[in-house]
Amino acid sequence: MLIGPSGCGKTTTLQMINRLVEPTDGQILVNGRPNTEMDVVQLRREMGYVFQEIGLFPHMTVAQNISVVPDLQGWSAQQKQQRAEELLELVRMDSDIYIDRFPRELSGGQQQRIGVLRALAADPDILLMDEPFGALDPITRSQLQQELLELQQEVQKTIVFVTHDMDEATKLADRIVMMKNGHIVQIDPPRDMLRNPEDRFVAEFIGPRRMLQDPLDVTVRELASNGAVRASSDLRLSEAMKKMRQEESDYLVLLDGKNRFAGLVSADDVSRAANDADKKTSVTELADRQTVSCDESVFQAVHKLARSSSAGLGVVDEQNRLVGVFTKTGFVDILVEEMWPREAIDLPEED
Amino acid sequence: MDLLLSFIEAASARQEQLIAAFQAHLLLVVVPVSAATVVSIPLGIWATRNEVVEAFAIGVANVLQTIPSLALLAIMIPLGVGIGRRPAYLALFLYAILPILRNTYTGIKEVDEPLKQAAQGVGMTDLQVLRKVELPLAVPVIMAGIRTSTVIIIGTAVLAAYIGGGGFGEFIVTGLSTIRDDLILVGAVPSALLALLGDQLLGFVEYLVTPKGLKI
Ligand SMILES: Nc1ncnc2c1ncn2[C@@H]1O[C@H](COP(=O)(O)OP(=O)(O)O)[C@@H](O)[C@H]1O
Ligand SMILES: [Mg+2]
Repeated sequence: MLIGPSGCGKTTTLQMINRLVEPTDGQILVNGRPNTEMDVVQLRREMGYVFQEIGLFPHMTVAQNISVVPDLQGWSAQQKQQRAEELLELVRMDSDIYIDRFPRELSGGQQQRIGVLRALAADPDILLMDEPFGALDPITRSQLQQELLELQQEVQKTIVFVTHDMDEATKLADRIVMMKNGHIVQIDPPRDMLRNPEDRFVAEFIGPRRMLQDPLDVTVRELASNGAVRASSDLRLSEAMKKMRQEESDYLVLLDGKNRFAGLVSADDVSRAANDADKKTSVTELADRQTVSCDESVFQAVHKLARSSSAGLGVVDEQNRLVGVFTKTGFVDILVEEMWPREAIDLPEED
Repeated sequence: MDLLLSFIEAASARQEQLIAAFQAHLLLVVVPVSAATVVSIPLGIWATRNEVVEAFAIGVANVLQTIPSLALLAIMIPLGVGIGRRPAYLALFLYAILPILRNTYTGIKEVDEPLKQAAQGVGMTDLQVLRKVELPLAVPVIMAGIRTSTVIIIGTAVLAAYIGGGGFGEFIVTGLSTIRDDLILVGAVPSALLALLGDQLLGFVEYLVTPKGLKI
């Protein structure tokens, strides 16, 4: 996720990846190979590009626009038609109504959707998206963002996404690249960037402390710690103790065979149980299994955590897969950072 | 009223001559304009791709256009092309080039830059960008150039009679030298009608070739 003020070089960066602009210096590796060594036309066809200006071809129908790359790759008419219908369904546009329309007959939001579908049509592994939801009203934008998140759950691609909207970045990004005047200022996951902006520029770009101002607007996903020590749920107590000591962690996140959240155990509980005479043999029996959906607000998560006796909550997605954990101690750390940020108070830097 | 009557009389007395003049005039338009189209479209496309061609082609065409049409026709004689139909075709062909060339060139140049970039960006080769995006979008503009050219040549072809090219101009030339207003009208009225008709017809063609997505 590239973010930064207008004119800082976000579009240029995408254009260099796609070789619409050639870099004067340095190289760009695509799947480990410098992109300048690849056939430029092939490179572009294997890479979906959603342009900032959308750039739908006005003389082509929705179906023809979506099928541009499949057409260049020589798909049959039937394959193209089928793919176009399938994709329209993906963004909840009725293909009977829209497939033969022209771009001018569509609303701005619909045009942007088609721009995204055109990029997806030939199922590229890499997607370049340049402010794809830029010129939309907030409701449509948030709807399309949600669709993109769902889409990404299904299709799993490498997406290089450009935005100038911090909320969009924190909602969608795995990692945010903050840019200024053609340079990278900071690269971090959203949560780390929000908590530890590299300098004043980043801090000001992020804007006023969002969490304290809008606790309903910030999702737990952004604050969930994903650095927690993970372990298999069939671990024995002694093994669990050893692992926590080794990793210097006071809790463990348990996962079942399919990478789904199976509970959270604290070091206290484990050591108490280990000293107990009638020994329980597995950590699962000690585990707290309370979870919170990653799209819930911090506000809701904090309330749930306050009412719970456990040390933390598992933050999970719809399939109960682990996104991170939200613990009481972790939340206190975050609060302290938010209220008395280090750079503002000017404490000597602790390492 | 007298003039109208004598015009009708003069015209009906020359039905066969009129039909021959019509055919000749039509050829004086269709041959040069077709030839100019065949030459100008590729040249116009080339000019959008190559700066040397751009400067040269547009420059030369501009110069040709500024030469008064009668002078361009007349100059065919000392240039040794002679008199009659052939020099008339040649002069009118040169005269027909500019509107088509210029419209082809600007029609393609004026396709939105973001659209061209999108076409390149999705992986079209230069030829594919031209064929699938630039030309379809430029077609109405190119057609408008052909229309302008045709209307100009229908008018200019009247002057071809001065170098023996035939057409409706013959009546006018004769009428002028013998000071007969009715004869002048026999040449002027049909050539004016032809220009109006040609303009309407090609306007309709222009509408037909405009991509559907642009008409909405
Ligand atoms: N690293 C760079 N070096 C020199 N010029 C740059 C660099 N990055 C961007 N530019 C120039 O800055 C201008 C704006 O860049 P652009 O990528 O469109 O900004 P953004 O998309 O972030 O608003 C462009 O004219 C581009 O050529
Ligand atoms: Mg930009």
